[in-house]
Amino acid sequence: MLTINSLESGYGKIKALFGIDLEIKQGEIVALIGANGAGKTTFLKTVSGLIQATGGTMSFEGQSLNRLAPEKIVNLGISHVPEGRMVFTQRTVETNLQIGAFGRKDKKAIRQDMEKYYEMFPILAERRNQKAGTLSGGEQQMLAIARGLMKRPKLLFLDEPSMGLSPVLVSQIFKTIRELNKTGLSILLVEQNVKKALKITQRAYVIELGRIVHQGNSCDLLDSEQIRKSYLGEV
Amino acid sequence: MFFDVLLIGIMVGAIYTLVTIGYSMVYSILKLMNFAHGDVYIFGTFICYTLLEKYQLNPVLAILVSAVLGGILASFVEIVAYRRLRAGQHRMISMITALGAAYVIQNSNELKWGNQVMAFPSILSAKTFQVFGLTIPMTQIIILAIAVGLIILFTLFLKYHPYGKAILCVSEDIPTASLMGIPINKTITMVYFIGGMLGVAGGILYSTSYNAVSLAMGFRGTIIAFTAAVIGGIGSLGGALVGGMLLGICENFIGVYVSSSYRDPITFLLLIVILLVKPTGIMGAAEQTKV
Ligand SMILES: Nc1ncnc2c1ncn2[C@@H]1O[C@H](COP(=O)(O)OP(=O)(O)O)[C@@H](O)[C@H]1O
Ligand SMILES: [Mg+2]
Repeated sequence: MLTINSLESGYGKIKALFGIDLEIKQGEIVALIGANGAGKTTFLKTVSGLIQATGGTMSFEGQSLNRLAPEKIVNLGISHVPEGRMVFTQRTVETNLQIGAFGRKDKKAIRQDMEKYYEMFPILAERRNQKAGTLSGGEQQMLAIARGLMKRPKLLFLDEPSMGLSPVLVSQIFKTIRELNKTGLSILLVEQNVKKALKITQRAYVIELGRIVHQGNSCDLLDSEQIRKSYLGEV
Repeated sequence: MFFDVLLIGIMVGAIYTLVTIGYSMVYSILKLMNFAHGDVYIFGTFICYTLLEKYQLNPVLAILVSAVLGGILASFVEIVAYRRLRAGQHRMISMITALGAAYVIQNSNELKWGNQVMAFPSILSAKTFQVFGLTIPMTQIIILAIAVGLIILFTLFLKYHPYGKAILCVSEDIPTASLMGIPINKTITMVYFIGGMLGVAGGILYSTSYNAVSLAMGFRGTIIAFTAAVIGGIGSLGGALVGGMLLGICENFIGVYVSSSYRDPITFLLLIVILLVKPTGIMGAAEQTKV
């Protein structure tokens, strides 16, 4: 579904990715883990078109993503829920969801999707007419995910959805992610919460300083001594 | 007397609001001082003047044509002079190209229409009517109604139209807006287009109410838009309305009750006082720094 080969990118003269190879197959849930500053966000931003790739190739369902504008890429079916949630704080919850469906013409189905996510996240339904900026961090994360889903994507990028949330909320968000994958949605999950991420994903890539240093089945990585030492703080 | 001055003040205020909207929206999205704004609106007003005076075109048609031409000129300036500078470079650079664009348009206007004050054809009835013993001029009422109507129309557009909402989201956060599938370039061009159109509408209404049009009104238009936007709180529709109204009403009262030569100094003194008390403008929230 998504095939990335030798991807390079960065910020002006500063290079941040040094040849990333990564693949996601239809229906998979894959984790991309790594320390702060490893290049996870840069990777997602490059694939979704926010940053220009300086080398390598990216393709989604056979279509090249290189040099496409972000709005074109999301319309192909990749929804990117950015790090730090980035909801439109001055707009209402409802408007945030509507804007997530930007470009869709099926008004009735949009309404139905909205109700579906209000059901999935009842707190959003309660606050639908409130400005998104008044929501708590966890609520904003739910809104950001629901907003990303309003496009009816085939592949969902989640950039650290558990960041800054209480343990209870983290579990809830992870449960939601798992359920979304069960409906057939392919997911790339970026996380620093390595243990939890490995538990709910099928495969995982480990990124260090802009390079993939490990990859494999998530359960194998969970058992790997090296991963336990470097990322799970176990000795 | 008091009522007349107030009515005209409100009318001028509504016109100033129209002129301010485009300027303020551009600022809120791009943090760019669009110096060419006033020259675009006076270009459209001149076009309207020519269509009415030389070609005796139907006024409604003349206004529509010149508003659209003004909108096209505004988006043309955006595409040619600003777009390429948007990514990355220092904001000062596009400020300079904005100033350049303003001069090019201003001088072209001057070559075509000169720098004299010309009589703007009267397109509205000069009748008056009586309410509660007050004599109310038709012209002012119609102009006010048109200006308010346009402001309401634009408000509804922002609130309910998908592209209206897109404009608001783009002004809040461009990268995230693009992740939603909003075409950023197209949306920004649209902001310039609408801003140009509303500006021209304001210019025509102003010229109609004072029966005059001149090159100098263009530069003054930029200053008015800037001042009203800053007083009210830059970047918001409410801010444009409050700023435009305040400016229009104050100007008229000072012009009539003090002296018209003190109109500008006192008005701008007011601007300084307001900004010293509330630097973000009357309706302005503290600028959020985006992480
Ligand atoms: N806007 C930016 N400008 C310059 N360098 C950046 C920018 N954002 C991130 N970087 C650098 O790119 C590298 C990767 O960052 P990032 O992708 O955000 O890491 P992660 O998401 O894994 O924490 C880091 O060295 C970081 O300092
Ligand atoms: Mg990150």
